Amino acid sequence: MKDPADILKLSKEQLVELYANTLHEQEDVESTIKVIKDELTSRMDTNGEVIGDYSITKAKRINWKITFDEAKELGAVKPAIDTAVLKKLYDKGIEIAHEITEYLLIKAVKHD
Amino acid sequence: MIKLSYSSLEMLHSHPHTWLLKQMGIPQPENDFFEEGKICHRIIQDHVARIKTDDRLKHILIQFPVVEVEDFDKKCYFEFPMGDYLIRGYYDGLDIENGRFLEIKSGSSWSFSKYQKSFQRKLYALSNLAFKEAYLILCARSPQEWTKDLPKTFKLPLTDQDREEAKQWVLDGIKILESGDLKADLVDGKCVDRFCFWGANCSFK
Repeated sequence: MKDPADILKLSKEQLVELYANTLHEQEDVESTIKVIKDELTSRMDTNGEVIGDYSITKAKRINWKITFDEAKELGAVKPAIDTAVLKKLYDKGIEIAHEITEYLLIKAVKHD
Repeated sequence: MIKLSYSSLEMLHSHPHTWLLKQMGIPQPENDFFEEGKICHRIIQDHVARIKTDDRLKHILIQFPVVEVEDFDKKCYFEFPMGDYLIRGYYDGLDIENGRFLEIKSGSSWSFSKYQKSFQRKLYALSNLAFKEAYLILCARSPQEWTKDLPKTFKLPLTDQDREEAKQWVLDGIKILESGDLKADLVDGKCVDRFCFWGANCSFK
């Protein structure tokens, strides 16, 4: 779309089609980014370097592989708000401070 | 000729009163970080020069044929004149044939980004036009920590812009020295820097 203002001229059907096409493009772009990053990673012989105007560094994220009980034994659990419980109480009519936001869900319909 | 190292120039720029302390011959207090840093440097330098490889560094494949094997090792020394001054220093590692030098930093106060911006890197780029790349090895303060926190290697190109910026930085440092205004970082004549390298020995406390 050359001019984002053109969106105002589209019908609802055209908007949904545009959304679906743009989502596909987004998936393609994200796949391409992953391939580029994997290729760059394989070519890097250091933890970081400057290439052109960019600083490229390898970062690490730790993904913990333990159970809740194991974490508890280590003192590594913390209380958190249970939103499912809050929703049940809210649905029963209990007054709980809240704010409602609306958002759009767009899902493909399966045709048999 | 007055000799200026990167450290001296950094003092002049950031903490000029410490230049006075140095000229007065007041010693810095003994510092564990310094000794720990020397140990890290020795292990890494021996590894990259293949004098004595270390299993904790087996992922570091880069080699530097020339490293400091003693304090103030002449093989790693550089100097070049700028006006009436001699700018000098020592590389942690040297590979002239491939146009690169090595800098090793231990502890948490250094990062890749900080080294990219640092005038130490740019000054060393200025020291020899044959240099095309700087390598940096960052490691934890204690070698005991290296098995969990592997030392990391980084490389950066050295550019004409780096050299120009270093030249200007040196000239600005010399201006500060020649101005004689070496107490600009004091507040009412007192050193209020909690991290002053002279610590309790600072005469301006």
